[in-house]
Amino acid sequence: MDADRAEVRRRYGPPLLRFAAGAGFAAIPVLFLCLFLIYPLERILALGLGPVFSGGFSIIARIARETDLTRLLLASGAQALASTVLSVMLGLPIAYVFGRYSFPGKGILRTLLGIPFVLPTVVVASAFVELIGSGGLLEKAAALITGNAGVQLSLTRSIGAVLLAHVFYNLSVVVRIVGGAWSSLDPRLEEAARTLGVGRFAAFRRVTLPLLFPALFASSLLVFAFCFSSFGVILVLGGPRIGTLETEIYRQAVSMFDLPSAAVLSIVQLVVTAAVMYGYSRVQARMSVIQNLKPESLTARGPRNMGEKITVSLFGFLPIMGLVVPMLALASGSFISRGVVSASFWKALVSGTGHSLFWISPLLAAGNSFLFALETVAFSLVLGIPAAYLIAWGQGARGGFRGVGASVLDILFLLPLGTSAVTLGFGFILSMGAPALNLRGSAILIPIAHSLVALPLVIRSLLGPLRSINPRMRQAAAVLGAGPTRVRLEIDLPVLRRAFVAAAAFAFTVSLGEFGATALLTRPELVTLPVLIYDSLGRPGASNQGQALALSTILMLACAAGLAAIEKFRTRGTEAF
Amino acid sequence: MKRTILLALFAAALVAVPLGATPTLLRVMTHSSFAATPSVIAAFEAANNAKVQFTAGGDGGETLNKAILAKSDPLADVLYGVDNTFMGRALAADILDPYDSPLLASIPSDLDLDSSHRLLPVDFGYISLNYDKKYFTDKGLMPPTTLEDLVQPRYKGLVIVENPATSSPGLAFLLATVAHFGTTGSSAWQTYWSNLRKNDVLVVNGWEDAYYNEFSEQGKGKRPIVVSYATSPAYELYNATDPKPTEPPTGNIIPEGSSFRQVEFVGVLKGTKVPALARKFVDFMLDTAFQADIPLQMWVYPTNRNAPVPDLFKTFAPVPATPANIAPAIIDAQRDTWIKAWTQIVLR
Repeated sequence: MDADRAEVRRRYGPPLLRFAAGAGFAAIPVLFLCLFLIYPLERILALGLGPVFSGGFSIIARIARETDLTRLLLASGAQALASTVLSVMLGLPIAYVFGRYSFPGKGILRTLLGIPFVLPTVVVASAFVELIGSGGLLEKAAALITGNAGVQLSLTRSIGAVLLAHVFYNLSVVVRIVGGAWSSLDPRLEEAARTLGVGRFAAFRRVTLPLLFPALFASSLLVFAFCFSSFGVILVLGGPRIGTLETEIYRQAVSMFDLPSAAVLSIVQLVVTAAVMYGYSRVQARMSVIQNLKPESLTARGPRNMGEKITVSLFGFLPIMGLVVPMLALASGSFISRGVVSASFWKALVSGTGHSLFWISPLLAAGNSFLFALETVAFSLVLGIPAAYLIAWGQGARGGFRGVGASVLDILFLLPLGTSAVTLGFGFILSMGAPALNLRGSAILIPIAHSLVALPLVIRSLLGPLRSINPRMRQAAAVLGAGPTRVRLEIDLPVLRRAFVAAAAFAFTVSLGEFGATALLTRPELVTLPVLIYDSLGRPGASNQGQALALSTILMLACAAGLAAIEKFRTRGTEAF
Repeated sequence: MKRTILLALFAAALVAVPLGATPTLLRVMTHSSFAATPSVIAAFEAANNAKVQFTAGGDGGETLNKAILAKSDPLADVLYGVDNTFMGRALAADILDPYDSPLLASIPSDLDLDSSHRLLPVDFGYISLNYDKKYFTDKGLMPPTTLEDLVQPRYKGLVIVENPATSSPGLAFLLATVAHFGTTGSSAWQTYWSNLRKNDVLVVNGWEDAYYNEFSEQGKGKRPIVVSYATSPAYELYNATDPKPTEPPTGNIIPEGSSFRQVEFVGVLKGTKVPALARKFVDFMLDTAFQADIPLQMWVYPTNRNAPVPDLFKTFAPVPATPANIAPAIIDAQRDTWIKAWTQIVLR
C-alpha cells in the first residue's frame, strides 16, 4: 500500500499540489458561471425583489394572484411535457437507426437534423405559416381534396403549432444524445440475450432500453428545460391566448416594467427548472452503468435485408424529410415574390439598397456569425470538459461532500436553460457596466453569452459517455505505464470523440442561431446573420420580409457547412480502442 | 452613379476635417425600427468631427427599460424612440437632461408634449385601419368608415387587430377606442370590444404577423381589414413595381377623432460625457436635413414644419384633422389596467 502511495506521489506529485491543480482546473468553469450567470441574476433579482422584501411577502401573494401564476405554471409545464414526450417518441426510432445502422447519406441527414436549431423563431414561424397557416399548403391540399376552394384551415396560433415547432427544434437534441449512446452500446449484449431465447422486443426492453435510460433522461431533461422557458415559439406560433411563465416575464419586464413581478416569476421558473433537474440527477446517478463503450465501426452496420432497409428509410429518412419541408418552404419563399418566381429579394440583398444604418453586407455578417460560433465552440469546450470531469468525478463518490457538491454543480450548469432570457439580459446591463467588469460593448461578451447557453448541452453530451468509461481500462493503462495525460489521450479521448463532436456541434449551432444576447450587445461591425434577419423582419414591406427569408437560407447553408466540417472529426484518426 | 457622387462627397467631407483630430464618439440608442440615409448621418459626423455609433435596443418599451436600468452608467449619450405611450415612464425614471433646443420654435406646440423639454418630438404617425380595396370591390361591399361599423354583421370575421400587450400599434388602437368610446356608461370601450369579439375579430401578437400572414391584400391571409399605419398604403404604392399602379392597393379608414397619434421623442441621457455634442445631435434630428429624410425612411411625419413632406404622403396618408388624443400622464397611469381589462374581455 505504501509502495502504491509512493508510486502515485512519484508520478503525480505531492498531494497538496495535486489538490491545487485539481482545484484550479475546476475553478475556471465555476468562476465563469458565477461571473456571467449568478452575478447578473443576483443584480437584477435583487433590484426586483427590493420592494418585495421591504413591502412584506403579501406582495408575492398579490403577484401570484394578478399574474394567475397557477395557470401559467400549469400551461408552461403541460406544453413542455407534451413537447418532450413527442420529441422523444419521434426521436427514439431515428436515434435507433442512427445508432445501429450505417447507410449512405447518414452524415448529410445528421447535418440536416442539426439545422433547425439555428433558425430564428420568427423565421420558423413564417415557414409554418406557409405550411399550416391561412393560405398555406395544408389549406390548399384540403381545398383540393374536398373540392371546396373556400375551405379555411389554419393551425397557427394554437397549441398544436407550438408543439410542432418545439419538436422541429429539439429533435436533434434527442437524436444526438440518444443516438450517440446507442452507437456506443455493445450490440453483443442484446445478441447474448437473444441467444438465450429472449424475443427481440423483450431484449430491447430489458437490455438496451435500461442502458439507454441515462441518455434518454438527459435529452428529455434538456428538451423540457428548453420548452419550459421557450419564448419566441409561444409568442409567434402560440398566439395571444397561450401564455407561459416566460411570455409573462417578458410582458411584466418589458411592457409593464414591473420588475418585482418579473423577478418573482423568474425565480419560480428557476426553482421549477432546478427541481426537475434535481429529480433527474437523483434518478440518473442510480441508473448510470459502467460499460465497455464501442466505436461506431463495431456497432453500426448496413441494413442487410428488406425489413431493415424499410426500417432505415421509415425511421431515418422519413422524419428528417419532415424536418426538411419547412426548411425548403423557407428557401423557396426567398425566390417567390407575390406568387411569381423571382430573384428580386436576393438582388436587393446583394445591392444593399434601402437598408438601415445597422445594415452590413450579409457576407460580413456570415463571417461574424462563423467567428463567434468558433469562439463559442472553443470557450464551451474549454469550460465544459473540466466541468463534466468534475461532475463525473464527484458523482463517483455517491453522497458525502463530494457527491453533493457534484450534484449542485450539475444543476448549476443546467440553470442557464431555465433562466429567463429577458431577465438575464437586463441583469447583464446592470452588472457589466461596472468598472470591475466593464465588458459591456465588448465583442468578447457575445461568445461568452453564447457559451452560457451552449454549456448545458455541451456538459450533458460529455457527461453520459464520461460516466460510462470503465475505470479498469484507465487502471490497466496506468499499470502498463501510461502517465495521466497519456491515459486521457489513449483511453478517454477515443471513447469521448463522438461526445466531443456532438458537444462541438451543439455549441456551434447554439451560437450561430442566437439572437437575444447578440442584439443586446451588438455594434454594427459585429452584426450576425440572425440580427440581420430580425432587422429585416422589423422593417415594413414584402421586400424586407423576402430578404429575411434569403438571409435565413444563407444561415441554413452556413450551419450545414459548419456542421459538416465538425462531422469530419467524428471519423478522423483512429476509431479502434 | 448617385452612389459614386455621394461617396465622393463623403470622402471630401472626411478630408475637410483637420487631419490628426480623432472624431469624438457619440453613442445613440434607438429602437430597432430606426432608419436614416447614411449620407445624412455622415454630414453630421463631418460637420462635428464626430463618429455616431447607433445601438438598437429592441422595441420602444424594451429600449427605454434598458436605458433606465443602465441609469448609473448610461449605455448611450442620446436616446431616441420613446413615444407618448411610454413618455410617462421615461420622465418618472429621471434618466434625461432637459434641453431647450432652438429648433423647438419650428415645431408645432401640440407635439411638444413634455414641458420640461427632456423629451423633444422628432416624428409622429397615425394608427389606422387598412383595408384591401380589391376584396371590397369584388364582394360589392362598402368598406367601413367608423369604428362603430366594425361590429356590424356585414364585417363579421373580417378584422385583424394586434394584442396591445405585445404590440405598439395594438396598444395605440386600444387607446383610440378608449378615447372614442370613453371609460364609463353602456357604450364604454369595454362594451365595444366585447362586441368586436362577438363579431369574430382575430387577435395576433405582432403587426408583422397581422399584416403579412393574415391580411388578404398580402396574398396569404383571408381578412381584408387590419390595424396598421396610416402610411402603409403609401408605402405599398411606393414599393410597387412593374407595372407601377397609380393608386395604392390598400386604403385607410381614419375616422375623425378616433385615430391615435403616436409621437416619438429624442433626449439627452443623464451622465453623458459629451453633453454638448449630444445636444448638437438633438438639434440635428430636429433640423430640416434629418427631418426631410424621415418620411421615406421611417414612414412617419417630421415634426419640423419647415421640413418638406413628399406628395405621396399628402395624397395617400393625410394627417387627420382631429386625432384621438389622450394625455400621456393618463396613458401612463391607466395603460396596465386597460391592457389587463382588455385581455379579460377579448382573450379569456
